Amino acid sequence: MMRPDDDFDTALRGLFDDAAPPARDPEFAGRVMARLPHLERWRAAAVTVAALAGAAVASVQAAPLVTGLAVVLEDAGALAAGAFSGQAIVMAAAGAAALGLALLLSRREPGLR
Amino acid sequence: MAVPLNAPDADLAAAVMAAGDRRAFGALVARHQQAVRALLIRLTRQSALADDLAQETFLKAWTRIGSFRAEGSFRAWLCAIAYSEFLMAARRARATQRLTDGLAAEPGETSTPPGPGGERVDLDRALAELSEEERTCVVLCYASGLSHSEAAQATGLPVGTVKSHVSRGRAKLKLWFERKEAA
Repeated sequence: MMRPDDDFDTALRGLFDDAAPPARDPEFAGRVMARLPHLERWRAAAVTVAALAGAAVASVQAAPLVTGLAVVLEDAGALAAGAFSGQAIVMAAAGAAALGLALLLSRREPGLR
Repeated sequence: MAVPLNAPDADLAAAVMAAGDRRAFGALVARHQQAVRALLIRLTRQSALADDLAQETFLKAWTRIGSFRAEGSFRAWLCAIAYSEFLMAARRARATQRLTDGLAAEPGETSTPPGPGGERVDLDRALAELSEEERTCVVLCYASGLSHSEAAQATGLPVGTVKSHVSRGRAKLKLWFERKEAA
């Protein structure tokens, strides 16, 4: 059974339905999107440069380690007829890892600010 | 693979969270802008201010998307941000006494709510009789269609308090319309 309160609820919802919706603004979303921060590319570039710089410094500092790894690779026969030095392969792997890390970090811009 | 623009809110929000998908976020803005603007127009009674706050609401939503939980309603989550923006704007304005004057004004004097109709003016006048908390809870539940618990989530009030505000606000509105009919 519908009570008088239910009648008023229905009438009140009707009033809001009739009166509430502001005119749909087709440009509103565009205005919001234009104000979104454009940080992804800057962030990716900055993180990539920082990561590569860090890798370069680390490789210089860790030259004995790199040389040691190269020796291990050469001993394992991983080098194709001396086309690449062991040090080059290790540096390439470190660079790829740094680049991957930079790209991964740059993907989570929303929510990190 | 890009999420389709007609995907549910939770899927679009997940795409924004995972990869900062602007296209998905644009779809969410387009989908909910009317509801957010309507809520803020009801709260501020100034359509220009409401539009500004609605933009701020969506910008905050972009930066805080990581705090959205898929088990909740995206609209309720947005309403919570919108309400927070309204409160901050009201506090700022109270400090300078500008918004307070606007809020105290009769509907139609300083506000420019869109749309014609005497019922709209009646509703605005009736809502002006309510306290800020009552008006907020009534608008969230009746105009924005939130449940009591969603309104509680949006306002940060306990569910019981929201129910009380809605009940009191509703009673005041009923009395206001009854008096108007009798007059």
